[in-house]
Amino acid sequence: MAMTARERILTCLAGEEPDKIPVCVYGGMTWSGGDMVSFDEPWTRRLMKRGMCLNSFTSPHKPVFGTMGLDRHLENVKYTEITSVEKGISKIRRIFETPVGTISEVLRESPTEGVPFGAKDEFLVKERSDWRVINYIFKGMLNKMAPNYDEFKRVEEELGDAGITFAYIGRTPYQRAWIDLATLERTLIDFDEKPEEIQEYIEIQRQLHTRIAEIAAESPALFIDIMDHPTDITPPKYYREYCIPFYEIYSKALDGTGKVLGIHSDGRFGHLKKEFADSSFKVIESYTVPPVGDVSLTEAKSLWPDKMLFVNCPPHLYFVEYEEIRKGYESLADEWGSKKGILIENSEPPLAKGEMHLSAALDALGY
Amino acid sequence: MQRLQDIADAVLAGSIRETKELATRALAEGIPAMQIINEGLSAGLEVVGNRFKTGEVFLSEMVMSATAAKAGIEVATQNLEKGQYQQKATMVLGTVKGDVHDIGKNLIALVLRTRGFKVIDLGIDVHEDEFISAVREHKPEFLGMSCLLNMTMKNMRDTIDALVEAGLRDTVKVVVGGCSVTQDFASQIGADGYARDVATAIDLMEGLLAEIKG
Repeated sequence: MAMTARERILTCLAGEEPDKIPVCVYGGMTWSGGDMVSFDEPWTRRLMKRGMCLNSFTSPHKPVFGTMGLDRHLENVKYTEITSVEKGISKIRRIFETPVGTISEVLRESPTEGVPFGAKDEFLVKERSDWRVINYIFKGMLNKMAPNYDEFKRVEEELGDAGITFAYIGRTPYQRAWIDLATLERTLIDFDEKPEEIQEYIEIQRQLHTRIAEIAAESPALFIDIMDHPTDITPPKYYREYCIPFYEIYSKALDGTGKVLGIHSDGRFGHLKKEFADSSFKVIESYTVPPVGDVSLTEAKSLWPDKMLFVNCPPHLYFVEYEEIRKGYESLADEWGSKKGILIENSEPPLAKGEMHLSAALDALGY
Repeated sequence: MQRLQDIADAVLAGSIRETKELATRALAEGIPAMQIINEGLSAGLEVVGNRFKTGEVFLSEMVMSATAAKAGIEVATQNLEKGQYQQKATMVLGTVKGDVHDIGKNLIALVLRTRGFKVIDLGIDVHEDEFISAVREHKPEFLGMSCLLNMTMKNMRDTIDALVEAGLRDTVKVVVGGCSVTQDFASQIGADGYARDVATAIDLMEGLLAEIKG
């Protein structure tokens, strides 16, 4: 008897061989107007009947901030939003006023249909002293950190056999600094010079991740996904100093729970081959295959025999037609050579051709 | 000179603090700012660029070195009168309409500034008319366009067409780059140059600049 979509993923996460390589979509991202799970799309339902799985992402903790920035409801922090339109583009200025200072960021409306405010015109940290405000806010977040299990269970129940909920976790300190909080240049200078503010930031992040790891370990989640995004501009020395030790916090907390730790990492990370081998996570989630990625499946299997790959939306198959997509997925499956340790996922299938693209993947993988 | 070699080594090591300290000491010792830049900071960055091209260093290390060199230039030029620090050419740069990805563009801007180029960075999601206005205003030698998304590549062509319509195409060299762009595409849309990464962008710009200066 064929496995359900959920069983297929659970088998994969357990390190065993499912009946077919799981094919998943991120539930309710860009294509259904922001609903949590896109059950209502007729074409999604058609594909789910064939065995396609929905991946939902839920934070295991409250306040929920994940990769999106800072909690806006803290005691002693006044949060204000000012919206404006400049040259026809909607923008939001988010202002955080605290007893130790005020910081603000400017987000602009994404020109990509269906994607809400995303790109930053201004980051929160502009001057070195702004890290003090960041630290004040993170301390507040740490003090009110609590489980979010009810929401997690609600989403799991909604998904049923159709999918699984991934517990997403915010980034490690260096990655969080340059992606979410400050420009790359500001981050590089401050992490090189390591003033008191940065040392305090790193220590607070350590405490925050330790608390989140405890919550994740006791949560109903089976897959814990750190949205870390190490890529080709993450220096190996900072990866060793600020990523690997933080993954250790999670792997130690999860030890013996049966839960699997992964990191979200798409793009190019070929310069971190050795560092990935030395990292304690078991899954590289959102893996990008060549030619856009720079580590082939064959090389990955040899470099990291104990890790699983969740291959995300191969860019070279994004705009091509059905037959080329089908052959592309067949070729990926042939290259990997097994149904074990691999999963196909799609965070952003082509909006107008989602059904065609995913049907081709299902056809290629024996559904 | 040992001090300049030390500065180059600090840039090579990507040490921002050390680069700034050494540049400060060099100034105090009476070494002219332009000599610090050319024989220390730029020399170090050139070694990094060459090593990047041969695969000996990674992009992340090049970014750290460029950041160190830029910090050193800020120290070296702090006491110069306006106009004493001559820049070799100007580039108007932006991520094209519909695209908000700026990491690659920012790296190009960072490295070009350390190599003596003046960069007018228009930011992300830059529409054709904004590129045209900036070319009119700044009269740059170069117009640089970047994009990450496949779906926004066509906006590079639209910008070049708009330059032609505005009668400005012959006044500026157009260079393009970004994850989804290829040499074939650059040729198809009539760009003057294509760079696949930061190091090749520098070579491309220096080569085109030599052509311009003839």
